[in-house]
Amino acid sequence: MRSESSFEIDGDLILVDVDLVGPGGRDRARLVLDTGSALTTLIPELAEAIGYSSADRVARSVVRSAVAEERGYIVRLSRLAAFGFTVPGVRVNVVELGHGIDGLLGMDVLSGFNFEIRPAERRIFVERLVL
Amino acid sequence: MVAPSISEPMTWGEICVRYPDQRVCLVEVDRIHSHGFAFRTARVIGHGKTWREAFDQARPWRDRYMEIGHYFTGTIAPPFPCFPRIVLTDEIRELLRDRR
Repeated sequence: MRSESSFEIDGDLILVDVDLVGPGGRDRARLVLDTGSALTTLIPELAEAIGYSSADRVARSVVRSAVAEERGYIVRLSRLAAFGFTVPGVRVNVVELGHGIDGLLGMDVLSGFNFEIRPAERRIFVERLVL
Repeated sequence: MVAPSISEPMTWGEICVRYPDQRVCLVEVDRIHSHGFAFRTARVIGHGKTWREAFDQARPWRDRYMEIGHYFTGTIAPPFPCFPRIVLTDEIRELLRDRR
């Protein structure tokens, strides 16, 4: 199955709309599509908005930036939906990102798809892999 | 505590003008495509310079609206020269291995 979605560009960043489902609700946020990120990441405020806190963690995490190390935690999200596809049980890293970024859509989710990004058209074609 | 309030239906352009460089919580989003960002109008139920401020205003509406959209009306300042990177511990590698 193949889908076509639009995306926004902010500076050099590709922003995609992602539905996040947790015990506290279903929300939609704009995440940076980041092929350099191993794990999908959310800022704590967004995780808390859909009902997750550090008490729900399945692991602790450390995020290293150019200037500091930030400690966070990993939770198992009920559901995440992007590009019209739903992915259940995604492990999401929860950590403060700063810079106005609300989260990263990382390779743990993206590797389940073939995708073709067309920046000039602001369109992305996504095909779910059937293994 | 601020009494819950909800705006009239507004376009994204109008929202950006009224709430510049702010976090906004949107409901009744009349989307053009179901999984894209573009929408005709939406109502604002929370806004502020921080997510906490915006969420505190939006929280009383949670029972009424199943889905809330979270957006930033400003421009992201990318953390150049590089994004923060997660440190891949053995524990995290194990979690990732389960998905493959």
